[in-house]
Amino acid sequence: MTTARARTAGRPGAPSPGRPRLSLAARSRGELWAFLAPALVFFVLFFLFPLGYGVFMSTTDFRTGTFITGRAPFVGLANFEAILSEPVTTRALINTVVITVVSVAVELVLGLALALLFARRFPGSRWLPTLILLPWLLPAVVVATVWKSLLAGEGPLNGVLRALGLPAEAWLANPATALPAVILVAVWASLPYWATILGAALKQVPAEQLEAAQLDGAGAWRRLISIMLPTIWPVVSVLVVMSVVYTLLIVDLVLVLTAGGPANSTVTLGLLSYRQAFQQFEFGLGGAYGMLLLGISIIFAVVYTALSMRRERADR
Amino acid sequence: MTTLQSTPVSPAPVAATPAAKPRARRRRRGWIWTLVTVVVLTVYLFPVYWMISASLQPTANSADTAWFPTSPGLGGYETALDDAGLGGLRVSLLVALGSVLLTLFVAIPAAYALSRLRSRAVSLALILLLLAQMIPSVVLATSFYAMFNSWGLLNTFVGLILANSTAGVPFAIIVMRAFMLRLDTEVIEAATVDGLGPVGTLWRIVVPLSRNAIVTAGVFAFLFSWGDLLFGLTLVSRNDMYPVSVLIFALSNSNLNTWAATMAASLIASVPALVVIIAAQRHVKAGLSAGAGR
Repeated sequence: MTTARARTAGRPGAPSPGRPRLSLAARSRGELWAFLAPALVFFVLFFLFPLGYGVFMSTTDFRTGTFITGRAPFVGLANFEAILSEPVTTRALINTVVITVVSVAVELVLGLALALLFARRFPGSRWLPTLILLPWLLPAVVVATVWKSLLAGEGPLNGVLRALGLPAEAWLANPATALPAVILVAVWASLPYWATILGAALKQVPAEQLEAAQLDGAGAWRRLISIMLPTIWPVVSVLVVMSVVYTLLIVDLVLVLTAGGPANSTVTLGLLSYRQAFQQFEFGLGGAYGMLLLGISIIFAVVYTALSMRRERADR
Repeated sequence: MTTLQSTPVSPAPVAATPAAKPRARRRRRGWIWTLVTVVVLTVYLFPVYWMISASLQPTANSADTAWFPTSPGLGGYETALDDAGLGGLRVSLLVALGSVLLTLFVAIPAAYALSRLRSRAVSLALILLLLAQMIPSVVLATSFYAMFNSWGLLNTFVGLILANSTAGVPFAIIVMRAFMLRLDTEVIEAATVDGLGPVGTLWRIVVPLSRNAIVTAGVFAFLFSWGDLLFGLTLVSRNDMYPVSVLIFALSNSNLNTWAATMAASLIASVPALVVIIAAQRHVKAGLSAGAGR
């Protein structure tokens, strides 16, 4: 409970009587700074400290015994050497990148297609598109559980395939199909987000420009490439980088769908980190996997920050 | 995969019919797009239908769950809502509400300060907030496990609330700041001149004016916390403290001979999110549009 007290203490009360009188502007500026105190405390305690602690763990031999003895011998980069010499790490690295790149690319194409469809005016065009938000409200564990039953050997997807005379498959149990199945579920879960944001962006496209282009004989494809895409590009670029980082960090979806199996065919860096820390109780190795993942996401984070700062400036 | 990808959506003309053509034809073409949308949504939303349908078939085993519940039963719901299930819902609800309160308590003053201050530090703070969202939650979970172990916060509501607020706080500050940037400075300065202290100005003027953004931030903090699996799985080891997401995870991994209970639990766990977002819909729309894309 010390945290809560520290936070309360940081809150500004009424100015104390003994305080020297400052100008109104200077005083209110000081008070504004004080308003940042709770967030600062929260940030230090629950982002900065855990991050530092994660770095510390990844360089020590930190395991269950550490919680009793309090001893975590420093091992330098040995944890990183250990995980990098494991073939499963390469597998996870490739899977993480493949899941991220493929699902974000598919989400962009399908999300744009849906946004274009919903941008039309047709009977029901006001309320039908809102239905697409439904899957977005499902918790990740629910999404994964429902898809697990849909993709099961005796599930409805195979029912359809059999009815069409196509070969059925235990999608999540076959190492060849498990990764595409995971990507399918990730795409399904993110599509509402893409369709909604891209739909809002498409509303910014000036209608006069589209009409003028049409009068000049520009086809639908041409109008998409030359007018719509350039207008929504700032939104698309931020959305892509944001989704890349978000998808890189996914753990729960894979954990529920396949838990990394079959035969480690769907392991990701996040999943290996979870596995080492909470199933093998090798917190040092888990921390090393986590740092590897963090390193990759930071690269994208830098890109994202640069992009959004540029937008912020453009908005001013 | 193929069903979704081959969806016949082409970027066809937005208003292809020149004004000269009769309106009736335009309307007929409109119905075609209604049809396309209905087909797309039917395929896309099938998993949601499947969840509802399978939850009503407690007598079917996992192999012969039918596409339509011909003899529906509530047995799945009875299993899902046993003592453990209800306990899980209670934990999830209390943790989510706690996260909303903590998130708003931390984020409202910070968002206000960041919207008023003119300083280099503001840009720095915004960058840090973006970076904070990039820290993998599994890294946080690993550190939290060690930290909470020594603070005695494992298996506690406080621990879960603190951990889940890490998802809500950065987002809440960014959304509310974007909204507060648009508030009329004169109103706030007038309040200051009238002798309202900084806390008074924030509480009496800024908070009511920013209602939409605050509701939005609260709704998202609720959804983040409600949807969490990782923290519930790692920071809890006592049966009566598991949130409902962990119980669903356990159900989906157990070799039950029916999907009904798992699907019923999934459905029940989805309802609060739906209720919250429908109740707050108007505010969320206004709250997000102010800061759209930032």
